[in-house]
Amino acid sequence: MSSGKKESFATRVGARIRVARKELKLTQEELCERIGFNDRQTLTSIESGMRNVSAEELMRFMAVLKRELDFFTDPFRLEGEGRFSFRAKGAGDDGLKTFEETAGQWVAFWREQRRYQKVDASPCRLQLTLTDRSAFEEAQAAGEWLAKEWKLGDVPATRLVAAIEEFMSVLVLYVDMPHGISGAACQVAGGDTIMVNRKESVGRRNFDLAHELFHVLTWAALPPERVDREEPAGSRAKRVEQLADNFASALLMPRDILLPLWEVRKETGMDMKEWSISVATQLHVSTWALGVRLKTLGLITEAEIFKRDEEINGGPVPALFSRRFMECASQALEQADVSVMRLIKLLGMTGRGGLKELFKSQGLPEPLGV
Amino acid sequence: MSTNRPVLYLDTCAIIEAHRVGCWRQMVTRYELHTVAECRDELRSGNARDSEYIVVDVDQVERDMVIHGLSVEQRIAAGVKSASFGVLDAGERDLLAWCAAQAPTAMIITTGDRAAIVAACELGLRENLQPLEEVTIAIGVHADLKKHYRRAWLAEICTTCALEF
Repeated sequence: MSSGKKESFATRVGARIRVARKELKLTQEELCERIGFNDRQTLTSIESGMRNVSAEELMRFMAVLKRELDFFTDPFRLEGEGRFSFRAKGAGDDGLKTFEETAGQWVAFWREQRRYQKVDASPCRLQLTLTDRSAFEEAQAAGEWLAKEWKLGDVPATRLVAAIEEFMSVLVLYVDMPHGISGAACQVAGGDTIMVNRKESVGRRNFDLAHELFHVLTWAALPPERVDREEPAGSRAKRVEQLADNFASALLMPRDILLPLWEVRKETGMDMKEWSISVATQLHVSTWALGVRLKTLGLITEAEIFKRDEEINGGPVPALFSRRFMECASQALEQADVSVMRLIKLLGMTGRGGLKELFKSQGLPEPLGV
Repeated sequence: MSTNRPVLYLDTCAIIEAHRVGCWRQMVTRYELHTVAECRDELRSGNARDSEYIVVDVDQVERDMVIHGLSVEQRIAAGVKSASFGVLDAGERDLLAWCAAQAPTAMIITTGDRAAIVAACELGLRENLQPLEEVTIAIGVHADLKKHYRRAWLAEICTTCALEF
């Protein structure tokens, strides 16, 4: 068993007490009075994780703060922390809320395992210095710059996940999302995550990934709305999403890669539709995104952008979650940091057979005890 | 139900494994079997679409076992005592919380899960743990048990726990 679990238990309980207290808008003095503590220092020590609570004290906290035991003790949930941004069109609020809860458990599980396993994440984080007054060209320039900085090569989409994980320590998950949600980003200390709906087309998946990356890179300066419904009402929210689209477009289709391909078309006189499908397939983007990028670069007019996205061959649907995430899950089982049954439910598997298949799908051996 | 038979507590997975290897009826004859309501409910919610799904007659299991419901106080007492409590499934948690709340001298607990074994050790139940393999030997059944229901598995984890505490 990893010793980090013991160290973080008091911290977790204390932090959750503080979250529940603040949600009820109670001061420390007021809570002390209701719990029956003589001095505020006791509560301060508990909330900061310096002192464990006794069973009797926890009973009183549960009663006063009106919370179940799991609220205080379950390490695999986000309480009072974590900020989600969803790329959703047509998804209902109930569906979003349910998915947010489930996704929050994955993020919390990931973050907790890294804590138990004492994975050192760099405290420094790359950030884009853009504001809501930045021009679209600046967002494009940032995308172009990042593609070069991260050496994403001739097909940036194929190396983007690895680069995000390597340079940002951000987890990227391919998951099944409710109808209408195509992507999501979650900001939480030590567990920033980008999630992509794996059932979307390859072009859409990559664009969503790059779009959500923009949000992770600009959380502080340009906090996105909880839900980007693609037609945000507020002008600032709309601006942020447009900047994200411009960034994503340039990241996936840098000028230096696209222009030579465009020259080939001009020289060969290739049919525009045929060329678009070929280049979109090559770059793993949608023909629509390609058209918008060409227009941005001044190569075609608005009227020439395909109104209908052409199907491109995107290969198989990505395996659920990610290899990195499942390696972490495997290690968690080995270290007794999660039980098999708990993991099965956390990951939404049908049972042990489903869990074994999941490890297999990521090319990982079946952990002992599954 | 109170008998002179040894008292054996089983979690959901151990009940399923006993059914998988076909030694359930012999266990019922030899032991006084106990579990908690959460484990019974988990048995009912098993997904038949899973490739490793094992059919368990839960109505019969209910008749064969003593099933306990937990109080909030019992859960809290275990939750505060074991740092691993939160990483367990609800059934595993309740089973261990119930056992920890009893006078566990003559109690045998069977679970194959590594995290559950660690939590049991944290709750002071290490001496009460027994692998399903021991149970099948006691009832004279030669069962092809999975690795995590065998002596070596339990011994290895308990040793690790002993070294860490």
